[in-house]
Amino acid sequence: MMPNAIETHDLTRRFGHFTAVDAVSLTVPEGGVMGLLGSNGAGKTTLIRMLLGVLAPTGGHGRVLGHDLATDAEAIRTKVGYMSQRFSLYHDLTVEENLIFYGKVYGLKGADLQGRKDELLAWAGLTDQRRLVTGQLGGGLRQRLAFACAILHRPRLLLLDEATSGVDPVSRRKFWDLIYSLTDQGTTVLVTTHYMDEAEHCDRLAMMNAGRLVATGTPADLRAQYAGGGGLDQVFVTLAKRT
Amino acid sequence: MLQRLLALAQKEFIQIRRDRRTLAMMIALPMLWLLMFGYAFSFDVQEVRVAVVDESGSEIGGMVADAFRTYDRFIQTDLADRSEAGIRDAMYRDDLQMGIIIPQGYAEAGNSEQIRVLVDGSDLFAAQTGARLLQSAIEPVQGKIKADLEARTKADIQERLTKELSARRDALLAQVPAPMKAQVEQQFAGATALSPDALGVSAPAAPQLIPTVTVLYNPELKSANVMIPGLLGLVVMFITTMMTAMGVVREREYGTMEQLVVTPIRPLELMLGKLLPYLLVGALDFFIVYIAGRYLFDLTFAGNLPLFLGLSLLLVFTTLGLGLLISTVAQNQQQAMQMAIFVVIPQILLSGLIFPLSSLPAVIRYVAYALPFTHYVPIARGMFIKGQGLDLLWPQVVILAGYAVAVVTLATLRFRKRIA
Repeated sequence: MMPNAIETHDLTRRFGHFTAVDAVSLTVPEGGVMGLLGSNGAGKTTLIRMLLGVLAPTGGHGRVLGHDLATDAEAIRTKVGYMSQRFSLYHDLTVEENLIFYGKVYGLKGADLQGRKDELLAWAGLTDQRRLVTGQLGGGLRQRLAFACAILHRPRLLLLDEATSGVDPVSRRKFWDLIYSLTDQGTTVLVTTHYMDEAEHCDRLAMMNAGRLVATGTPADLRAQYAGGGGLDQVFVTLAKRT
Repeated sequence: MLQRLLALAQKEFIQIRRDRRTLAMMIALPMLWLLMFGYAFSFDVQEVRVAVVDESGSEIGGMVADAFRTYDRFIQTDLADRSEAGIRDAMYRDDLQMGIIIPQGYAEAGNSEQIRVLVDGSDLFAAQTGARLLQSAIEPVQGKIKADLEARTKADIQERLTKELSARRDALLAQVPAPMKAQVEQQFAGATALSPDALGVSAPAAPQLIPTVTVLYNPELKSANVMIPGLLGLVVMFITTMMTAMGVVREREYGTMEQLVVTPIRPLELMLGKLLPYLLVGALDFFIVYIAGRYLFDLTFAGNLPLFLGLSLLLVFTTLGLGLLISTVAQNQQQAMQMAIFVVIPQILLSGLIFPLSSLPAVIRYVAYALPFTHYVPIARGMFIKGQGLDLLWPQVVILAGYAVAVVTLATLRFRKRIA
């Protein structure tokens, strides 16, 4: 049996009386793209922050790449890549400087760092822009740079939180090509999105609503089960209405 | 650990270098303050604009007026109307800082009129200096006035003596029989030879009114000598508090903090990676002001320099910690800047650097003593000017060290909690 990249059991996070993530038991096998769907406020980001060990759960437990997320967050962080919709880059640093900074932070050095930097510049199509200050880049390029920064350390698991929102469809298309090039190398990718066309790109889907995990399966499974063969939009609406 | 820390510091320096405004503030601000405190904020007024109105018509009055007019630190100002009203008008127009009126009948026998002086209180330091200089201005004529007084006293005694003698002679003449009158007249004629000089009369010796003042430690009483040591701390405090606060909040504003916390960087590394660059920036500013003070204002440093650097570090730890604390509260860079100013300005105003602590009302003085910078100013001044050591400054050092430990601990705890 293949080991699981992510396993959670009744993972819960409350903020005062508000339960952002409510007893989520999620299993993500290694390899492929897992899509985490749900409307704004469904609890996707809170779940991801717990998986990264940044936010402590108030209930339940979970393992990421075999490490307990409550006790072994440091080990998780060296093996996991993360990118959010904010493309957390230093606008006043050049493309290259951003890569070098994040590379050093992840412990890369010397020739390995230089090699990895050049490799990713080429991979993301940013070689010509490498000396530009990041603030001057357009949204699509910035997204690719943030992506490159998130995978410098060759993470086994990549968490992309709404990483595709705010860029044009052409850039989004290119971005998915990059995601597939990673899964081809064996990286597990978890993406959160509310674009249903993107959900179709995923190998597996998990749907969240009001903090709860309401459905999991392949896109085809979900369509058959909840939309009578209709689109994923229909699945989404059906599941959202239930609660 | 070291690599991550250096990566953070290096990144911070690139950002500082790219940000022209910050760079300008870092370099220009200390220079600007240095010039302000060194030259412009000079509380020693060299010359006072003075007008003298002499209404006395007497010789002494004229002498006193001339003394005021020729004194080299009084700049003579012409009045359109040479009267008290004219002085008040000129002062209202800021043409005049001090007016001196020598009243009619001044220094005449039996006249108690005093010299009247009007000073412009809105021009505080000029007014104080002017009033203080009156004595020195009048000093040269003091001797002449004394001689004049003596002459007048003698004339007065002579007159009274003569009067008294003639009165007694007349009384005696009226009493004695006619044959003896010639004898009486003869006797009194001899007595008229009595004079104040013969009696050894002279004017009483005036007490020495101008004391001999010897100024220790700052013989020229230059404000630069007193201001610049404190200014060193002020510049470092301002820059480190403000830049640390802004530097951390900027990460949050850009969203890069969110990214940093998911990297293997530990909170302590993140904190040190932020503080180290601004510590160096603070040190750079410290040396700019120090060098400028030494070579531009001819300041001498009387104390133990390594000790002074060490004690200054206590202040810097405190202010870096304050900056960090602000960053855990402020939502954006603008708020961080406002809070930094809110934290720094009272410390500048109440520290005793500009206004002496003894001039503050008691309640405000307690507030002043609760601020860390208040305890740095005596250290800086004492070591710069007097060469004081720990034997005298230890109470300030203990308090400052206490602040450094407390603020850094609190900031570390808050910072770790805030980024988690």
